[in-house]
Parts: sequence; structure tokens; C-alpha cells
Amino acid sequence: MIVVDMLIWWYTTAWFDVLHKVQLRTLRVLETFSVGLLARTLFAPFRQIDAGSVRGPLNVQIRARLDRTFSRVFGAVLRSMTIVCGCVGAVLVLTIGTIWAVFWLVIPVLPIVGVILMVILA
Amino acid sequence: MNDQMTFNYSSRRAKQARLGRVLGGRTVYFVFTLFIVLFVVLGLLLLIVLQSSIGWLVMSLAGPIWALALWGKSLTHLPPGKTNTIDALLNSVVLARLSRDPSPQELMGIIKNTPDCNFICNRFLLSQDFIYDMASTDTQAMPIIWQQAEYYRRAHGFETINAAVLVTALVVTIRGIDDYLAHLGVGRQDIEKGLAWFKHEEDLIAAYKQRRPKGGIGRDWAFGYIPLLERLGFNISEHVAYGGSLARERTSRLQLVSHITNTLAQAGRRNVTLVGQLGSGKTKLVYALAEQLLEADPAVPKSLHYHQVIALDPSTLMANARGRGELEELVQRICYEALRAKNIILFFDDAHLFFEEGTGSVDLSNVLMPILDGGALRIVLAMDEQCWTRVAQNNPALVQSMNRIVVPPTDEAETMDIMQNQVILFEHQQKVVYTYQALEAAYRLSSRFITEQVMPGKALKLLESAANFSEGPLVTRRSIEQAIEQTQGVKVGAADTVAERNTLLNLEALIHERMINQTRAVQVVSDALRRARAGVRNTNRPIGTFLFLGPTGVGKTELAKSVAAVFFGDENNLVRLDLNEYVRSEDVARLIADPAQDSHSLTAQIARQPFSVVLLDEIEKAHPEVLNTLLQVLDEGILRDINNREVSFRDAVIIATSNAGADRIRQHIEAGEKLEDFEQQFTDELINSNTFRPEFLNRFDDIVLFRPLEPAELLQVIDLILKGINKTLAAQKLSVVVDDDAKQLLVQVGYDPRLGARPMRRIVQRTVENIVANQVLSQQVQPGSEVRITRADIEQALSRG
Repeated sequence: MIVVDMLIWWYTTAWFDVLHKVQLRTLRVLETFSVGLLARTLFAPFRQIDAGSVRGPLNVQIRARLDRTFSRVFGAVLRSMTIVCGCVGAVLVLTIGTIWAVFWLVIPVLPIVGVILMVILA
Repeated sequence: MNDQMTFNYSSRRAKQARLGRVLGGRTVYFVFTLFIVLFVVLGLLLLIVLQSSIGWLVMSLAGPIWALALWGKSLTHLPPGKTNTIDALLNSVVLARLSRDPSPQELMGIIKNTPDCNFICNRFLLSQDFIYDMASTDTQAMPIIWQQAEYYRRAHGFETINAAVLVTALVVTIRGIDDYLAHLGVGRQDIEKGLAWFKHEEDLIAAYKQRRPKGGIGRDWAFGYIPLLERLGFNISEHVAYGGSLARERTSRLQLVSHITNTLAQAGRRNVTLVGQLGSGKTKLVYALAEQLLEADPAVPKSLHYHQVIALDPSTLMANARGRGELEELVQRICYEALRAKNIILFFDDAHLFFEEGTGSVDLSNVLMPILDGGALRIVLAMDEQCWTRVAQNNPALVQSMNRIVVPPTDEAETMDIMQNQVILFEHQQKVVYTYQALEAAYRLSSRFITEQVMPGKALKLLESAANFSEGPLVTRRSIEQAIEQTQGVKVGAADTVAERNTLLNLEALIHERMINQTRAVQVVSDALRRARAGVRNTNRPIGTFLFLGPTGVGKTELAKSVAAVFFGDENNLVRLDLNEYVRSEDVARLIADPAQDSHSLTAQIARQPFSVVLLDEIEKAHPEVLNTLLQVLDEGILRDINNREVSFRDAVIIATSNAGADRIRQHIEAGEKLEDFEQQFTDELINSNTFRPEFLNRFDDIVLFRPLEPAELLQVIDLILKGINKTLAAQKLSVVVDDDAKQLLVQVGYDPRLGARPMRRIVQRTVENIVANQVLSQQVQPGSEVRITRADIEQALSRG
């Protein structure tokens, strides 16, 4: 009865808990790298440098527009790089988490795996 | 009786809990870990050193042991079962220890000294051993405890029935516990409030532990740099992000925060002016706002997500600008920087300092008004009501540009919640534990005695200062009482020292050490004072209100001074008003003048020293408007000053004196009547002669008649005066003794039935004091000697005078 109770807990509550933790860790990586926020503001001027309207002669306005475009491009590049880093990190955490979640399923029955390995590799 | 509220020892959850107690214990867990390490190491040795494939099998044995260890640990924190029975709802630690047929005493033995049980018992100073002894050994008493516990679990939203719930249920169901609780100053219903406090703290800690998203590394990349604001402002958001706020706001406060966010998110004038009295929690609301914005709370409009709140203060700005022009330019630059950054909310605490010229303040209305009006920059201002009124009077257009939100003082439930939030911090900082009684006393006493702030500020202030009066590590009701006694100069606790009790029981004797006879007056006043210190008086009125009537020089003022000295500890605790100086209706303004303008107004003096005797001399001479103003004091113990601030007279003794009808008193006494016989008739005469209105006289607790002093009593007055002279001479190691026949002569010369004892002091001065002065100057007396004055000496001195 004890073994049955333990196995029920292991393959239900405990395993769902493992999956939940993997999900949380993955989301945490995405949040640490501000992936969602950066994607939403991908083309916003970086730190508002040269943002805002400029009045004056045409050459000043053209220069301001170029500066603003540069600020946006620079921001987009930096944000894209950060988003890529965040996504790679999240995939890494998710992969490790998934491997762990699969291994979790095997832990109580490891002796069976042990017997098989012993016989095969004898 | 609900059948479900019984305990099933053999239920699956109960068995699991007992198993968890075995498997989840530290020792067993250590043994499991040891086996896991052993099997892994042994397996590796077999595989690597002996190259035996048996190593795989040995190593794999660690798997099920590991599973068993984790399962055992989980059994110590079982989730509640699905059925509605006690064994399905009990906390697994308690459940694991229960016997098949537990008694209340056994239950108390199990939960004793657990952290949850300690919380409840420490907060109320309950002795766990005492509860254990009081708890019944009758197993039949359990269903009612289970039922009570389940009621509390549901009412307070606990997941399981824990030790805190159980000890509360146990205490409130113990028969005959009321006396014990009353001794601790609490009732059964208070213990349940302690459970609410426990839940509050549990929720706070859970919320604090919960990781809150703060936006990550790229949060501010879409927003501008703010070097000037970083240098000159205080970043509240940063402070909140690093420190975290340990608070669970109540719905009413959350509604205010929501009101602020909605106003800031709307189109148009995106500014908020928080108007509330000192201590109402305006700044705290801004901190709560900063926290909500930082966490990108879904309740907050998206346009405000990740906005930062930065506080500015005028002194920093003034220190960074040379002249007025430079200051205005600096403020413009700051506002422009905030506007460009796109995520800044400027906060001006004590905002009136930015709209008035003065020390530490500067009028920047011209710079700020267009910004407030334009609505491009989000701004939060905070000021108290009087400042708001002043700003509105001086610059009506400015207040038109502001969106006013009133921050009202908190009620009792809100204040208790806020105190419970703050107590965790105070306890951590001061290394003390606050009892429930202390919190309750902090609310009650600060409501009554602290007038310069409102709730919750004043209760928190008192709570914090009480840590210095902790009894060991505990901050109790007494600590709060001591704190308020020290800071406000009042006495609030019941008389608790032997000396104080003796003083109260012997008040008459102590007062008679300073004044002669007038037994009835002394008795009436002493009774009122004893009622006050024994805690049996009406606390919504002054301690006592008396009208002393009688001729001059019979001890009316002296009795007032004696009360100040004996009861309030110092003769200086006397606020004296000569009402012959308040004969015009305009004089009412002087009674209630602003303390800043006139520190000697009645309201200013009582606000400073509420524990006083208020002596209203010659009350019959006051203007009727002045008397009307004083009616409110006599009735409710409250007077509003010119700023509409309440000043409490509820800890003062109010004594009004009057010479009105002095001749009638003398006539009655000379006719051989006793004071008690003509008291009522005399009062009627005063009303009929329009000296006092009946509604005025009715406001006094007692109207006390003073009778003229007789020559025999004047002899005692002489003794009192001589006692005073000897006290003065004691510094020079001299003393003076006057012969009895000399005293008789002094009385004979000084007696005037119209002036009472008043001429006695003058006559003693002219004779006794002059004789002593001459002897000291002519070196006829040396330190340590006694000056003896005979009738002949007095006669000689009188002939000279």
C-alpha cells in the first residue's frame, strides 16, 4: 500500500510540480531578458536618444530624422540580440527541464533499468 | 452537533500523516541520504574499479530510496483532503501526533510550543502551561473544539486547521477562562482577532516570498536617461524595488491607489493632488503606487507600466541653484527631462513648499502651473488640508489645474491592519515582540492624546516610540502607556505603584498640608481625582469641572494649585486665565488662537500640556460669548482652535472661581448656617440675579461654596506661611519660631473678614520676615541657629511699620 501511495504521488502531484517548475524557470529567463517587452518596443528609439520632434530649417530636420533613425536601428539591433540571447537561454532551460522531467519518471523504477543494464553490459 | 466534526483516526490522510512523521523526520531523511550516497559510490566503485556490471544494479537502488525520501518529506505537509471531516482538514503535523481518542488537554500538549501556537500565545501573553492545565481531559469535549476550529478556518481562509486555529478554538471554549483573559486585558473575541493577525502576517510573508516580475534588463531601454533626476531626486521606485514593501493594503486604500492610477492614465490633466492631514498616509500611498507600477500589475493601465516615481524636495533644488532665475530654469530642465524619458512621475511631497515664499519654500507656481495645466507630464502632489486652503486662497487658478484626491484618516480596522504591516518591520529593527494589547492601546491612546496627526500616522508613531519602553523583549500595553506618558505628559495607566495609590487615598490630607479647612471643597475635588485615576470616570468629559464660589482669600486658587501639585505632580501644571481680561466678544479669538501666533492661548497651552488644572478666575466677569465657548469644554471636553483642530480637555481638571455673592455667603455663615444648608438657595439666588445662566451652572460637576475663614483658622494659615519661610531659610541653615501669643497678635492685626487670608501674608512679611532679615544682616544669628520671635518683637516691628 505504501509503495502504491508513493508511486501515485510520484507520477501525479510530484511530476506536475516538476513540470510547473520547468515552466516557471523558462518564463523567468524570458522575463530576465525582457523578451516580451523588448519585442513590443523593438523599433522604439534607444533610451529616447534623439527622439521627439525638431523644428528648424530643412537640413536640421533631415539631420534629426537621420539621428532618430539611427537611434531606432541601434535600439532594434541591441533588442534583437537580447531577445535572441533570452530565447536561447529559455530553450536551454526548457530542454534541461524536459530531460529532468523525463528522468523523474524513471527514478522509482531505476532498479529495473539497473538489472537491464547489468544483463546487457555483463 | 455536526456529525462530520469528528476525528477518524484510521482515515487514509491520518495514516499518511503518521507515516510522514516517521519518514519525514530529520534522522530518517539523513539515513536515506546516506544510503543514496552509499549505493552510488559503491556502484561506481564496482563499475570503475572492479569493472563489474553489478555496479549498475547497485547504483540504481538509490532511485527508489530517493523517491521514498522525497515522498516522506511531502507527507509532513499534506494538502487538505477532499472530505469535510476533521482528519481531512487538520494540519498534518498535528494530525500525525493525535491519538485515537484525543482530549483537549492532549491536543494542547501536541500544539504547545509550535511556532503557530507561540504566535497566538505571545501576542496575548497567554501562558501555554496555564491553558494546558485549564484544558479539559474529557474526550467528549472535542467535537465542540473541532467545530469551532473549522469555523475559524473557514472564516479566516486558512487551507488547513493549524496550531494557531486550534489554540484559539481551545482558549475560547475553555470554561472559566474569562477571568484569566480579563486579567490580561482581553476578551474571547480579541483572541479571534489575534487569529486574523496571524493570517495577515502569513499572507504578508507569502506575498513577500513570491517573486515579483520587475521587467528584466531591458525594462528601461525604451525610456530616456534621467541624469538630473537621478542627482536631485529620490527614486521611490528604485527604493521599493530593492527594499520591497511588506504591506497588505486594505480595499479602501487600494481603491485610492486605483483612483490615482486612473487619473494619471487619463487624457487631459494627468496630475493628482493628495490632500489629507498629517499622518493620513499620503506618502505611503505614493509608495504603494510606485510598487504597483513597477510590477506591471494587470490592474494598472498599460500606459503606466514600468513608470518610475521620483520625489523632489525644494531644499535640494534650492541648494543646486544660485538665484531665483536659475532655480526656475533648473525646475524646467527637470520637467523636460522627465517628459522626454516618458516613464517618469514626479512626486512633490509637502507640495505647498513649491507654491509659497518662505524659509525652506519657494514659489514656483509660474513654472509648475503651465505643466500641471498642460497634462503632458505626470505629477503627484501631496499637502495637508490647511495648506491646500492656503494655496487655494492665494492662487485659485493653480488649484483649478489640480485633480484633488482626499486621503481620509483610516478607521480602526484599517489602522490595526496597517499597524500589523508595520509591526513586522519594527520587531525586526528593534528586536522586540508587540502584543495585541499594545496595538489596541496604541490605537486607543493615540486617538485620544495625539492631536497633531491623524490615523494611522499617530498610532504608528506611538507604536514605534513604545519599543523604548519594552518589558524585556515584549512591547505591552504598559509600554504604550509609558510612551504616551513620556511624550505627551499625561497619565493614562491606572494607579499602579504603592506610592501613587497612597497619594490618591490620602489626597485630602496632602491638600490640607497646603490649605486650611474648606473640607467640603477638598472632598469633592479629591473624589473626582480618585475616580479619574481608578478609571471609572466618563472619559469623554474633563476629569472634573468645578465652580468655586466664595469671598476672596479663602483658598479657591490655592486649592487649584494644590490639585496641580498633588495630582499632576507640579504646581506649574496650572493654566490660569483671568477672565476679567476676556470681557469683549472678540476675546473669544484669544482663547482659541493659533499656537504659532499666540502660544499662551487656552487651546495652545492645553495642546502642549493636556494634563493640567485649568483655572478660570473671576468667571462672572467674562463676556457671554466667552462663556458660550467654554460651555463646549465643560460639556464635551473638546475645544476647536482657530484652525479647526480639536484640542482635548478630557485630561484636565477645570476649576472656575467667582466672588459673586460673597457677601451673601458671609451673611449666611454669620447667621450660623452651615454651607450645605444654603447651597441650593444660594445657587438659585445667583440664577435669579442673572449673575449666571442656569445652563452654564448645570455644566459643572459640582458648585462648591467656600466659607470665610475665622480667626482660629487664620492661626493655621500663619503656620503654613511660617513653614514656607522656614523652607526658604533652610538653605542658610536657619529657622524661625514665632511664639503663640505673637501669632495671636498677627491674626488680630491682619484679620479682615472681607479679605480672608490674603492680608496675613503681608503682615508676616512686614513683621517676621523683616525681623529675620535684620538679624541676618547684623550677624546676630549664625548658620545652625534658631530665630525666636516674641509678641514684643512683633509689636516693635508693627510700630515701626
